[in-house]
Amino acid sequence: MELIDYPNYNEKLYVQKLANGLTVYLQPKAGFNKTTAVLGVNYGSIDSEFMLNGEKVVQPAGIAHFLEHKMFDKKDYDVFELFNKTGARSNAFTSFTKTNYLFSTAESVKENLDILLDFVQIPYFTQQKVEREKGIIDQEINMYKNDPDNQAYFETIANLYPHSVLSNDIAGDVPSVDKITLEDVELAYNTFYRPENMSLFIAGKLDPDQTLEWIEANQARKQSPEPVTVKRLMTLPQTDSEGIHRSTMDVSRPKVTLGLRGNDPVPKGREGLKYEIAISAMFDLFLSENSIEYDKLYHDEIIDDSFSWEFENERGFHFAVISCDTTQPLELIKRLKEIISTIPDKIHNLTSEFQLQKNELFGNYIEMMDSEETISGQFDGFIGEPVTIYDEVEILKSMTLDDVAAVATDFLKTATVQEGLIQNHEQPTD
Amino acid sequence: MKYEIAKGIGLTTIPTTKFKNSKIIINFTFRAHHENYAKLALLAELLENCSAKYDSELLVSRQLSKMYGASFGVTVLRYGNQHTLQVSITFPNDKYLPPKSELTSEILDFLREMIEDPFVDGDQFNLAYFRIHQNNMVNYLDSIQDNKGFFSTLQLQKLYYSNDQDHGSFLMGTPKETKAITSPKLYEFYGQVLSQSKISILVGGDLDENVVVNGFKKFRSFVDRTPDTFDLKVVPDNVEKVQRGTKNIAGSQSVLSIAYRLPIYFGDAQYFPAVIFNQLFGGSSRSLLFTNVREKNSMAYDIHSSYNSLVGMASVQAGIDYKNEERVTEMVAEQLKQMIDGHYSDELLEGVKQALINQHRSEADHLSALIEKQYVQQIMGFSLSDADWESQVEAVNREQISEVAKQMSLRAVYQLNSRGQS
Repeated sequence: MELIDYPNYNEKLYVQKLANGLTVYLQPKAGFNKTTAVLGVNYGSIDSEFMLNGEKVVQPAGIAHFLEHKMFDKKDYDVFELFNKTGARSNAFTSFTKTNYLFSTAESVKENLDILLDFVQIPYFTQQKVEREKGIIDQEINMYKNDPDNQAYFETIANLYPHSVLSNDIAGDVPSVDKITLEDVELAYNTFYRPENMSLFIAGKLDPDQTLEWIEANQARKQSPEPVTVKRLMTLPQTDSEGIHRSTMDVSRPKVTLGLRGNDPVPKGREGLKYEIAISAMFDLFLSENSIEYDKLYHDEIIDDSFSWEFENERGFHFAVISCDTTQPLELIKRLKEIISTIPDKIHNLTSEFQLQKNELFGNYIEMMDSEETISGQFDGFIGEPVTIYDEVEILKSMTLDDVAAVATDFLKTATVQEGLIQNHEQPTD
Repeated sequence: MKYEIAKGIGLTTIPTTKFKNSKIIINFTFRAHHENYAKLALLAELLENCSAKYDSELLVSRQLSKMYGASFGVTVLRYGNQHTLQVSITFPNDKYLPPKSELTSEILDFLREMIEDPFVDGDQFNLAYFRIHQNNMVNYLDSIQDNKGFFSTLQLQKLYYSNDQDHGSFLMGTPKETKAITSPKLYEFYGQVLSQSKISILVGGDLDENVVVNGFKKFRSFVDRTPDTFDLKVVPDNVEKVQRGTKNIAGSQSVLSIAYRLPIYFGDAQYFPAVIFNQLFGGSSRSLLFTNVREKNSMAYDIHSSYNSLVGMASVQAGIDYKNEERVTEMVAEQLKQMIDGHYSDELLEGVKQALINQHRSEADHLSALIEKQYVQQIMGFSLSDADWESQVEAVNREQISEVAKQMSLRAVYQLNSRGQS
């Protein structure tokens, strides 16, 4: 096993790529009672179009999420029953680019690891089971549709990436889910649920050698799938126009979003993480509670605590979404655009502010280190090299304001901007 | 270790070297009266965002960044009959910070500043500051309707305690109550909170206890007091019939919420059977509600039950299609009947026990959970060793669970109806 040592934080990471291609990451936490394991599949909602052994496949939107649900449903039992016997907690979730299956437990780690690896690696699909799941997923879709914040977020992404797989909700919609067939599910599974397309990250109470032995023994019992050639197809057409996209929903105050689609190239691996941290620092410098700009918007009563922003850097795309409830939506959009346009010029003068921000981010990383859920949740096993939060904090420490300014300038120079506005019929605009 | 800072002000430390951060919470507590809810919620906002020295939100925020992104918050809570103003702060341990860092004293000075020297002009909170946060609070209260599940929970609570505002009202107050508060009145109220509350301080992590105790002794307002005592358990009035409420909205899903009286409280002989009953009924992903309503009949994605042992109440909530409302209501009643009749497998019962024990052991990995556990045991005057806790869980049998299920009496139903796409 490869050992990566983090003496500053008294932590170690063990890495081993198994013969079948599965990569295992083990991060023991001394003194902890609990063990958290995340089995990640490098497959998400955007992977619905691909070339398989030279032939083009187009699948219904929501297929990855559908597959996630179906993995729990076995011939004559539900996987939750198995976890229930050991008392472990288990869950799964699908994002644009990944599907993660996880458990956490203070008992019977080996047994739970076998359950996790087996239920994800040994599928059982039938026509009847596929049909029955549709009703549940429809209710899940409707639950998200009922949430205006969720709607605002996904509509903004759809406006940034129109006519592309990113314009679909992760779960798809009721008609697309209805189209999913047993054959679709099997094909998606066989294409993407392959050991070389998975990573297993385990944090908490564990003995690295013994844990690896358990995993190897489990994998040795399974036959490797036949090799396939897969090429993911994702075209993200450029938008012809920028502007405000309005929609109507029953909301207490108008909801504004401002989305920024990154069109600059993002480096891979550790450098990509550096890019992400730099963009976050940029937003902190201009839109966190520490910034003059935020303070002004707040005291002009254009924004309040509902203000937030997030930045996503994923396989093949990156974007930011800023959102807030406000009674002055058009003024907020105008002011945000002004603030953003001045970033490349103003950022160079923020030396002491940057130092303060680094201080805060550094402390935030120390805080994350106490949570094995965060350590494992933050980890991305598919960027070519292992980068843990212990690496991220070192990237942060060595980051300069010039680094941030350079990344910010590249990002903003080419970013396309779309605004979203959700309001009631009766709400007037300012 | 337990210390007394003054009469009526206790400090408990939970020393542990397992974590890289430490946490301090300060609870100011008194008996819950609904007239105070809006006031205490707004007060929490005003104590969190500014002080005399840090007289803008920006300065507080920058001070927190300077203290390595310490997470500071002031919030309101209700433990049964107890109304609580909670100040909390989490911060990294010195050994991970640059050499010679002494963050603990800085944190204590900061807490003292925020608590004892709020942003006031004469005998009121700074008016511009007061007004902006009052406004924000009203906007927040108005926005709750956007969150359908939470909105329904609050309506259900109101129905459940139809004649009892101290327990039926939302802890943050109403927009109307918030608007009616004036700055001088709120400042006066704060004087009472500070001088009359019972104060419980809890400190978890790897800290020098002397530094902490001496730090709190410097708080000039932390002086002797004789807080009134009261029972934490909430016993609701009897009601003649089931209370029902309905609201129609434009939306994509209906939310069905059902509340039962379950007169079993933390520390009672039936407490553990009640906890296990809830897990079997709808509290886990193997529960009867989850299995039969969701997995077998595809009627819901989210359906769950919860049990509050401080108020003796259990509730069920489900996001469903409007057309299935009657059927789901029937199915919930059927699952309760199954619980009374003991129609579930031994395997499921054993698994639920296993899961509770597993989660109990897992709690020790979260500093916040350790502190919360310590505090609840303290105020309830009921504590069990981990071994006793586990053996009590193990000892629960089917008869006991059935006895618990029989005590469930339907008390309130709230339907947030949406008949289709918005």
